[in-house]
Formats: sequence, C-alpha cells, structure tokens
Amino acid sequence: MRWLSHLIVLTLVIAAGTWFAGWWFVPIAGGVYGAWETEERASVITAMLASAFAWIGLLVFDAFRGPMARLTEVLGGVLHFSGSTLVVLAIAYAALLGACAAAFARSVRRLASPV
Amino acid sequence: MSGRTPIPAAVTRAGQVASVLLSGAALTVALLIGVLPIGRAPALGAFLEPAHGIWAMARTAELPARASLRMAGLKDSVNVAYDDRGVPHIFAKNQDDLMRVFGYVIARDRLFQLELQTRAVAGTLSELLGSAAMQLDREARAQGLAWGAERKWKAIPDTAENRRLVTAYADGINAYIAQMGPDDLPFEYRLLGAKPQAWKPQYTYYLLSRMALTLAWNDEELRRANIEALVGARAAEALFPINAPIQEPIQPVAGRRAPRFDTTPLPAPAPRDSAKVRVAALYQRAMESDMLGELRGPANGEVAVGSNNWAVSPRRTQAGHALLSGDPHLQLTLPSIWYEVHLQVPGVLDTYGVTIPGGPIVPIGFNRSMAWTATNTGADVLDYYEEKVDDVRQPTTYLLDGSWTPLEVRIEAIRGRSGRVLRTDTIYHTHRGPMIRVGARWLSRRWTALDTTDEGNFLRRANQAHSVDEWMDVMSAYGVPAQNFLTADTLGHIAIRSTGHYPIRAGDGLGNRISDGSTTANDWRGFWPVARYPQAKDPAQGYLASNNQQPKDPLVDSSYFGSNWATPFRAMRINKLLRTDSAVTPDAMRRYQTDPVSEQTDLFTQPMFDAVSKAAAAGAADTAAVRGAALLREWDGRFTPDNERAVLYDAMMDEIIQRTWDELRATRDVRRGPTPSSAMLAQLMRDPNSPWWDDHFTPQRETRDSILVASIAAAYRRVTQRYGPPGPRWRWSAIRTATINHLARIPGLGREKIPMQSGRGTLSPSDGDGTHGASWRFVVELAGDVHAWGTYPGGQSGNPISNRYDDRLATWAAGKLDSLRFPRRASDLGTPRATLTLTPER
Repeated sequence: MRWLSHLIVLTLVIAAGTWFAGWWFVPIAGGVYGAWETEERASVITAMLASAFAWIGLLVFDAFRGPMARLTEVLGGVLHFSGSTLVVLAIAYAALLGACAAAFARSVRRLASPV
Repeated sequence: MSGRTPIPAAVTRAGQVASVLLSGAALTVALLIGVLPIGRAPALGAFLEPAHGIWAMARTAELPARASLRMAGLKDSVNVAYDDRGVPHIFAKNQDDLMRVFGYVIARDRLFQLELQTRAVAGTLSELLGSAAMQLDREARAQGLAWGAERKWKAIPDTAENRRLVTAYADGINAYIAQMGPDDLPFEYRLLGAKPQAWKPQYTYYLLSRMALTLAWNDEELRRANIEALVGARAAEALFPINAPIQEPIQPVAGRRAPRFDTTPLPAPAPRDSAKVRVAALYQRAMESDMLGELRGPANGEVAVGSNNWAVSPRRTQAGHALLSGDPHLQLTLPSIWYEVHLQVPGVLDTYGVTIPGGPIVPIGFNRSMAWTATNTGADVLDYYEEKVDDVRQPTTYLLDGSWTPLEVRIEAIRGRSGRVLRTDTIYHTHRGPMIRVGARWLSRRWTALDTTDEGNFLRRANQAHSVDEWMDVMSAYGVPAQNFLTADTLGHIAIRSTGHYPIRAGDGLGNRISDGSTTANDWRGFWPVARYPQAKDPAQGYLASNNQQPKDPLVDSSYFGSNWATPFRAMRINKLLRTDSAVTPDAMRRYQTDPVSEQTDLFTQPMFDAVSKAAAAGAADTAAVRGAALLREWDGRFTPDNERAVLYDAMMDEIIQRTWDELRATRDVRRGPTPSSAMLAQLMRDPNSPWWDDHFTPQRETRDSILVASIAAAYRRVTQRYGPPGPRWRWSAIRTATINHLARIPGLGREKIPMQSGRGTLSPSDGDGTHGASWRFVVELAGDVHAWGTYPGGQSGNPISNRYDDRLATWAAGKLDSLRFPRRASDLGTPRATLTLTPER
C-alpha cells in the first residue's frame, strides 16, 4: 500500500514537474526519490514506473486535445519508422531517466552511509 | 558450523563505488541523449517530452475557437474571423492596424515558411539546414538578391506610407514570435532544433527579389552563346528565335480568328569543332543552377513555369457579367506559396485573394469592384556584358570608357548551423551589377530586379482600385517581375497589359547577345513608355487571354521583347475554346482550367501515322512501330486520368525530341542543355528533309519519317517494357502525377502521386517530375455582388499536423473549386471556424 501511494504521488509530481519545468524534471524527481526512499530495491522500480506513467498520462492528455493519430503518422513519415514506435520510445526514455537517476542517488546514498 | 563469511568493508566500499560509477555513467548517457543532438536529429529530451515537446503539437494543431490578446502598437481593436476553409477575414478600422494584424495572422499559420523563404534569398539557409544548403546560399549571394532588396528598402523614404505599412506588417510578425508559447513552435523548428529569427521589414523585399528570380531571370545570352558554339550563329538564331514560330499573341490582332504559323525552314547546323564544344561547355556550366532548377523546374526545352489567365466580356457570358480566370503555375510545395486572405478597412480597402507569406499585398484577387490576376511575360530584362578586368584571377578594376574603374567588392561569408564560417566568396560588381566568371571571361549582369523600384507599393494601391482604368493607372510605374496583368470590373470592362520595366537598348535593340562592357554606350538608355507595352482593353473578340506567349505579333510590332517564348499550345487551346463559346459560365471557366485537350498532338501524330503507313507499305516498318501507331490511332487525344493511350504519346514525344536535337549534344552520352521548344519542333515537322532530322551519331542519314517511325517503335517498346501490355497499367492517372514536396524537402511532409488531368501542351501542364503546376486557380464573376471560386494545392496552415495543411488537395486534383466567402462584415460569416480579437495594449 505504501509503495502504491508512493507510486501515485511520484507519478503526479513528475507529470506536474514535466509540464511546468520540462523533461529534465524527470531525473531530478527520480534522483530525489532514490535518495529519499530507504526501501532500496523498490526505489528504482517506483521511479521508473512513475516516470513512465507520468508521461503516458501527459500523452493521453495530448491525445484528448488534438489529432495524436495524425501526429504519429506524420512523425513516422518524417523519421522513417512507425509513429507508435516513437510513442514507446518517449515512454521508455522517461522510464530510463527516472530509473537511472534513482539508481544513481541510491548508490550515492549508500556510499555516503557508514559500512 | 555454518554462516556467511562477512564481506570485508573494503570490498563493500569498492562495490558501492562501482555502483555509483555505473549508475552515474548510465545517468550521464541518458542525460546526454536528452541534451545533445544526434547527427541531424534534435536532442531527444525536449523533443520527446509530452508537455511541450513534439507531442504538444497535437494540442496546437488547430486554431482555438476563440482567442483574444492585446497587441502593442494597435490603435483600435481588430477582429479576425476564420471561415470554414480556414481563410482569415481581417476587419480593421485603419490600414496600420490591418497590416499589423495581417503580419500576426500570417506568422500564426506560416512562420517557418516566412523564415525559410527569407533565408533562401539572404543565402543563410546553411545556418538553419546545415552545409547541404551551401551551394544554394552561394548562388543566392552571387545573384545579389538580398543586396538588391536592401537597396530597395533603403531607397524608400522614411515618411513613405508603404514603408510605414510594411513596418507594421513586420511588427505583427514579431508580435506573434514574441508571444509564442513553447507549444506553438512550428514542427520544422522542432525537427531542426532551431528557434525562429526576428523579422525585419526589408524581408518583404527579399520575397519580391525571390519572385523576380523565379519569373524574371533570363539567361538568353548564355544560352545563345552555348548553342552558337555548337551549331553556329544562324542556326542558334533560328532555334531560339526572337519571334515565336506560332503566333497567338496576347494583344489581339484585329480580324484574326486563328493562330499564324511561320513556315520558314530552319538553316542547317554549322560544322562543329572541339574548341567550340569546349566553349559551349563553359556556358552550359555557367547556366547550371540548383536554385533556378528548384524554382522553375527542369529546363527540358519548355518553359516549366507558365501560367494562364483569361477574361470574358459581359456580351459573351451567359449571365451578362464579366468573368475572369486566374491560374498561375509555379513550383508546388507544402505549405503552398499562396495564403488566402480577406482584408477590410471600411472606405479604404475590401480585398480578397492570395498573398505570398511575407508580402503584405494581394497580387492576385478581387475587391467589390474588380478582379485581377497575372501571368509571367518572360520578357528579357537581364543583360550580360563582357568586362575587361585588370587581373582575371583577382580583379580590382574594370575598363570603362578608356579608364580603369574600381570594382565594388562584396565579401560573403556563409556560415553553418554552429555559426562556423563554411566558405567565403568574393563577389565583384561593376556599375551594372554583380559579375560571374565564365572560363577566363568576366561577365557583369544588368537586371531590373536589382533596381530600386517599390513594386509592393504599386500592388498595394492597386488592391484598392475601383475599375480596370484605375488599376492600370496605379500600376503604370510597376517594374519587376514584368507580368501580364489581366483585370475585369463590375462595369463590364476587361483589360490586359504586359506591365513592367523593359529596357531600351543601344544599337539594334536586341538583348540576346553578350555586349561589350567596356563602353557606357552599350548601357541601357531607359525603359519603354507605358504606351508601347503590349496591351488591350475591351477587344472586339470579346475576351482576352495570356499564357506566357509572345505578347505582340511581330507583324504588328517587331520590337525586341525577349525570345524562346513559352510554347503557344495553351494559348491556342484557350483561344479556340473562347472563340467557340459565346455564353460562357463560371463553371465553363473552371472546366477550361483543366481542359484535357492539347493543340499539339495532331501536329505530331498525323505525320507519324503517315510515316508508319508508308514504311509498312514498303515492308520496312518495325512491328513495334506498327503496333504503337495502331494504339495511338485509338487515342481520343485527351489527357484524362483514365486514358490508356496518352502514355504512349508522351513517350513518343520524348523519343522524337531526343533523336531530333542530337546536334545540341557534344557526344551521345552528354546531357542536352537548352532544347528548342515543341513549337519549334512543330515547325520542323513541316520540312521532312531538313538536315536537323539526321541523327549525326548514326552512319546513315535520317529523315523526318524515319525518325518518327523509330520514335514510335522505341516508345512502344519502352512503355510495354515498363508497364506491360496495353491495359490498366497504362492509365494516365498512374503516370502523370503531381509531386508536392515540403518547402524544405523534409521527407514525409510532402505529398506524391496525385493524379493530374494534364499533359504536353494542355492548359494545365505539368512537367516531367510533376513538381510544378497550377498553384492557385480561381474564377470571379463581376456581378453587382462579386462571386468567386478558387482553390490551391495545399491548405492554409503550415503545420503538417493540422487538417488545414493539405485539406484542399483533393478538390484541386479533381479540378474543382470552392466557393469563396466574401462577407461585408464578420457577422455575415455565420458561425466562424475560429475568431481572434486583438485590442490595443493599455
């Protein structure tokens, strides 16, 4: 239950942060969470999932507000691969940022703590 | 005893350090991917994020239903209502506000286009697109387009009304850029990882320079020198004549009801030698141009950029109102060169039409009293002079009237995306204009496009005219690019004038040979008076038409005006249609725009049928020739999409041209340079034993008939090899298609394989690769309440995600037109698609 609530809150924070600050908010949020969360194994997965869900949420919002299908089709034509691949790439990139930042923060915290 | 062996602290610490390093490295890579562009791809972080990255474009693809904002510099509120076709109707209370909001509206829909066009003229495309654009930049700078535009701008007095209005338009563009949110950044900037540059008022004149390059560039002297080196002076004169071999002029000839054919035989080609061929190659290289090829289409002997316009007097229309049709042919791009707009200031201006983004005028359109449109004159307004310089490699002075005169030097540094200088060119100017080097010779250019006339001012005032007389009066000082401006008004008048500055030259007045630049005696003496321009008003024939042909029959006026005119087949066709229709309707005007018949086909197919029959009777005909001729006999001569024979005719014409003009190639494998027009070929058809029919790459002597038989045989073989036996794969719709590239040629943003009802010599021609064609078609009925119909290939928005990016393509391809809304007030539109209200900043 605690993990789920962390996931939801972190998802909302990353979504809002991305909206107001930009993509680089994702690694910052992931890093802060990784440094703060003591349940070490969960921290990286939570940050990864929260980052992915946050961007999925924003993409769904975009899709409700405009012609997302046409956009992915155009992007596919320009970049010479399926537009949906780019959607997956965006989500995967957010997950990567969140996970890498959380993992880095976690390992720094470990290093800083006495053996 | 069991238990874990404790891990030594040093080992744990080493593991932790390794973990930090590994996770740090992974994070660094992820961040670098987000920050750094990879090759030509943008940095992925900002690009992929869903709030304001590329995905945000889904939210901003369409105009918000209602928007309002405050704008600095406005004197009063301005309302913009977008109709169901996405056309903005701008209702302002004064011209300054109108122009400011016009700039804002155009930037809102076409910001990237504004910048790209400007950079193409300025020669700074490399800064946006990278070093791949360097050759285009070098050409633009060598042509002096931006240099000339800056001169024009400086020459306009600070107090001039047009300067103020052009500045207001620029302010409007900049106001849009300033208030743009991150979500509004156009698609192309996101792909390129770039930001829009501020707009300067003089960029409007850059645009006019670009139009001059498209429409008023004329390499006649270089072409003639090239051809003369290959086939001799007499033959060169005859192949690219000053007077077209088929006369169907723009200025009607009283009493004439059919085209006049010149049947003078072509003089034989002179023997060639290797020295001459080398000279020809030099001129050939001097004419090659990436920029001109892009703008004007492949120069395969026909003028690729052509246009049509015609107007009919009330007495020859069904409803008794004058009718006007405009159909300019240009390079087809997405977004389109044109943008539809309605501009209104009560009591001053109420104009609807198409504008080119960057130009605050309506060059083709209509108001409550009249309509106007244009075709290109193709007049020769560019001359070359051979200059004597002190040092061929690094000249500093040129000889003029016996004294060495300093050259003006322009240093042009072309920069790449990073700002690094990619190349530096030195451009030399004489008092006539910029110089180019051809081998060891230096040629200077005198070109009307680099003069300091303010065409924007004349066109803007003409937009407010109430009658054809007033329009022609306002436009009498207009200089470049010279256009056949056709007008019609609600009083029932129609008029046409080839308007522009035409040089008065020294000596015999010809402008198709390179002149000696060492004396000012060879300089231009001024420009023609307006009374001498080709023109007509309310002619007895009841209609007027222009299709880029020679405007005056030389039997009426033999003054040199230019040469190598567009083939007259479009002119012949529209004249035939209008001569036989005494009750023209707007819908007939529309149908004529895509009429599928060409007046040239019979000129070539009939002699071919005769030649094949003769050869067959003599037992000398190739089976392929007989089959090909039989198939073409079944053809109705129409280039309709479902036609299955036009492909064979098209292939046959390619073969005839290739086999006939062999003299214009140095060797069989060399690409042919300038090619005589199909009108010249039609003239040659009348002379079956002309030496031009002989293919000098073969040992035997060919005649017209043997060339025709060989051509249809080769065409039949080529077509069957490519498309199989006659059948659905021969359908014209699969072969003659339009290709509409994105303005910056970004793949995926253009549209291809759009079937066209057009062919060689039809009113709606398209060149081989389909990249040029009808860029805007419209019909206006000058009734008490003006009615109009129109469309262009594309859409109002430059945003490829928007439905308005290409929503008109299907209508355009089908040859249909939309009804154009021309409301007197915003409320007349009913429920607009979107509104924008701008109020003055407090």
